Formats: sequence, C-alpha cells, structure tokens
Amino acid sequence: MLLRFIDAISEWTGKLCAWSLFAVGCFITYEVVMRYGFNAPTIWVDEVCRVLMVWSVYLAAAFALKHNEMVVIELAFRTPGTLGRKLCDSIALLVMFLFAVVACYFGFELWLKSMLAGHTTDTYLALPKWLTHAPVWLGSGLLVLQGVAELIRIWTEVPAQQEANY
Amino acid sequence: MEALFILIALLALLIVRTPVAFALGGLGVMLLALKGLPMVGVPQRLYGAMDSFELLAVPMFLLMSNVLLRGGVGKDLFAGVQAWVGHLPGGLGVATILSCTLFSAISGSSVATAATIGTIAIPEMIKRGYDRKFVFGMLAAGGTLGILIPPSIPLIIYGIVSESSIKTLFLAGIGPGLFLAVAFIVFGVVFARFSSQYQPLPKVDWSERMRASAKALPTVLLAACIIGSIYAGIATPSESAGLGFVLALLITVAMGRMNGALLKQSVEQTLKTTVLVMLIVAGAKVFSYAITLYMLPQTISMILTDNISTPGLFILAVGVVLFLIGFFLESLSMLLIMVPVLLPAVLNMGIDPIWFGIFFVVLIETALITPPVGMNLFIIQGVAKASLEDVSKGALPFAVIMILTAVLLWFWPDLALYIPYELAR
Repeated sequence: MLLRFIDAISEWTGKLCAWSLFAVGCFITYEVVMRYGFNAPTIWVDEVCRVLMVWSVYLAAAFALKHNEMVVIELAFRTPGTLGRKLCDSIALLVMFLFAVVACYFGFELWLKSMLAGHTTDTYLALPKWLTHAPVWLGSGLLVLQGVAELIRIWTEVPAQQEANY
Repeated sequence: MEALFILIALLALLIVRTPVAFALGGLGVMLLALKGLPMVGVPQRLYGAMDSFELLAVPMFLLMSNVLLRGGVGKDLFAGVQAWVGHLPGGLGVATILSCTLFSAISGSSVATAATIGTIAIPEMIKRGYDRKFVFGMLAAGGTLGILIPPSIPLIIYGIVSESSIKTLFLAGIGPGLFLAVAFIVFGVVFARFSSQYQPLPKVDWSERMRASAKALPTVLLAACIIGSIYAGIATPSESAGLGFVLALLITVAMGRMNGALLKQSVEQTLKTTVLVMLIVAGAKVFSYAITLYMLPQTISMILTDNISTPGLFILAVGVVLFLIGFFLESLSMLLIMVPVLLPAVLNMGIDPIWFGIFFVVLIETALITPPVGMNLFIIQGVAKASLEDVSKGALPFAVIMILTAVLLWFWPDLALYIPYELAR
C-alpha cells in the first residue's frame, strides 16, 4: 500500500515534469518566432524556461530512480538477486540518502529563510525565491521517499532481469 | 595523498554500483562534512547547476531526436543512404557509417545513435554475409560519432563546465567527426575487399533512389537547419534545439507518423534521459565544489605543471590517463570528474580549451567502445544479442583509428579549429 502510494507520487510528478519539458520546447520556439518574425522578443521565456528546467529535473529524480534510469558502472555484482548485489544496492541507496537528506534539509532551511525574507530573483521578472528554489528540497524529499520504497523492494521482492539503461 | 584517498573512495562507490550521480554527490557531502564545511552550499550548488539556459539544449535536443526516432526516421535515413551506396564494395558498411553520421547531426548521444542505426543495420549486414564481429564493431564505433558531430550532449556539458562557447565547440566537432566517419568508411571498404563472404547488394534504379531519398530528405534538411542556424549565429544552441524539436514534431505529424501515444513516449523518454544526465551534472557540481575547497584541482595542476615542462608531454600524459580511465568510467562521469581537475593545468599550459574539449571527446568516444565498461558495447551487445567479447573484439580496430585521430589532432589542430576560427570568423 505504502509502496504503491510512493510509486504513484513519483509517477505523476514524472509525467508532469515530462510535459513541462515539452512546454519549454514550445516557449523557446515562440521566442525565436517572435524575435525574427515580429521583431518582438519576449522578456519571460528565458527565465520561465530555466525555472521549469530546475523543477523538472529535481522533481523527476524520484521518477528516474523508480524507473531505474541511473548510470551505473557495470563492473561487478551484475547478477540481480544475489546477496552481494542486494548489499551493493542497499549501500548505493544509503549513499543516495546521505546526499538527498542533506539537500532536502539544508535546501528547506535556505528556502524558508528566503520565503520569510520575501526574496526574489534579481531578474526582470523578480520571481519569488520560494517558487524558484522549492524544487531542490521538494525533489530531494521525493527522492528519499522513493529510495525507501526501493530499499524495501530490494529485500522483499524477487528482481526482474534488468538491462543497462542510458 | 588526499587526492588518492578521494579517488579510491569514488572508485569503491562506483564498483559497488552506486549510481554515478549519487556517488559524486554523496562523496561530495562526505568530504564537506569531514572538514566541517557548511552544508548550505549543497542546495545552492544544486540550484545553480540547473539554472542555466545553455543547459536547456540537452533536453531540447533529446526531445527532437526522440520525436524523430519514434517517427521512424532511423529507417528512412538508412534506406535513403543504402539506395545510393549499397551496391558499392562494402556498400552496406558505407551506408551504415553514413547513416550514423547523419543521425549524429540530429542526436547528441552516441548511445542513441548506436541503438537506432544498430537495430536496423546489424540484421541487414549479417544477412549479407558480413563478418559478425566487424559489424558489431562498426556499429559500436559509428554510434560514437553522435557525440562529436553536433549537436553533442558531452560538448554542451564540457562548454558549461569549462565556460567555453558551446557554439564554437559544436563547430570544432564537425571536422574531426567527418574525418572519423571517412576513416571508418575507408576501413570498412578495405575490410570488405579482403573478405570473400559478403554479397554486395544489387544496384537500385533511379526511381527507387529518389523515392528513398525523398523520405530521408526532411530529416537531412532539419539537421542542416540546426547546424546552419548555430553556425550563422541566428539562434543559440538551446534555441535551435527547441526550434528543431517543434520542426521535428511538425515533420513527423505531416508524414502521418506521430500520434498522441508516440508523443507521450517521446516526452517521457526525454525526461528520463534528461534526469539521468542532469543528476550526474548536479552530483558532479557538489563533488567539484568539495574538491575545490580541498584545493585539489589547484594541487594537481601545480604538480602537473611543475613536473611536465611542455604542452606536448602534458597532453600525452593526460591522453594516457584518460585512455586508461576510459576502460572503467562512462563518458559523462569521465568528463565531469576530470575536466574540473585538469582545466586549470590546461589553461596554465596555454592549451586552447576548445581544442582540449574536442580531444577529450575523441578519447571519450574511445572509452565508449573499450571494455569492460563501454556503453556502446553494452548497447550493441543488447541489440545484437551477442557476447561482450565479440563486440569488443570487433570494436578494437575502430578504437585504434580513434586513438590515431586523437594523436593527429595534436599535430594538426586545424582539423578541429579551422571551421570555428577561420571559416566561421
């Protein structure tokens, strides 16, 4: 139940992020067309696209972990299901936790400070920083959640044969 | 000594299958904690790593090539080229490399190139009696052109890490990319001449040629538009990538080859690869932040410049080290770990960072086809259901050609630098 809930969150945020990238493509094209076609370059495309990129990458980190879309050096422990492999995968997740927990905790602290102080980006749009900086801790938090789900799966499920992804 | 410990720790994490992104990020966090340095730098670096318009070129080029791929463009390209050169001696090999070259101009990833063209070309070539190992090697090597001929994901990342112009890097990749393609073709034709088993294809008549070319033409024109717009300075690489994606979508829709389900697949696959690449970039940012606070790049740069007196010897040493590292690391990790460490020394030695980027990418290409860790070997192994040993053996002569190209680049830097510095001035 818990695993399915976590999977569903990652899956839906992933889908949302994927279509954000689609939107970025359309925005960039709009900018180029406006610039050359109508001599009216926009002021928002550059920043909005950057913000969408930060959101997409960090929010979808859990989605990528769920789909096993990570670059792993396939040098040892290549057979799934062995004790060695399970231990390795667990160590890998612990290292991931260390990274993601630090990013989530300190990212949240930084975000809270920015929000309380009412900081904005130093750009023309002056977007509030609570909006632009939220994906770092939010995405890391989701990554930790998905990591917990994966850790439970390593020790409870029989693994399917997986191929190297890139 | 510190450097050695850090390197061993990193290798240990990678060997126990920690994903590269987390190995770099996790080790970075550990290093910061060991010296009691403030952790707040971690989220700041993570945000800064992604807040870049230049970096948007990566998902945009991925979107474009995923849309084209699902629109069946790989098959069209191969059929179009095959209709022209298939009947020549070693013609299918020529067609394969030409298809890889054309596909490289719409894809920034060598793995995508090897997988796409491999799926189509391997069965065809084996059916026509080409030596299996040779076929595997040719596809693994042909795929690597994807990261040298623009657009190229590693060149975008290198440009951002080294703060060099991505446009100049793209233009500098064209010369060596085409040179390598010609070298592979020559090798393929010579190999076919001395092989008695293969059967050449029958010559295709003109109407069939025209039909096949017409199908491949939109993709070729799209590739030309992208490189042309970057070359002419009409659009930045990110902009031409975004534009390329929308054009690719229009082309595939107009050809009746795109629907909602395929678009959804393209968009989701783009996100997966983007996150995979970007998390490594983010992890590497934290790692390089930590090692900079440990003064590691400066120390290594000092050791190198104190002990190696000439740029030639320096490049030789770097080349050997990268070649050796390439046996074990995959391309992006190699780039993101080594460039921040080596760049200060490169600049101290007065070596052009654009030239160094191309040299680096040629060595990454070699790393992609040398075992035990070579992404393209794995891809061809998967596509052809072959053994890693066979694919590696087949790839060996191509790896030698790449090494020779890297050496040639030193003696003839204009191979890379002529187009950006002279032609596009």
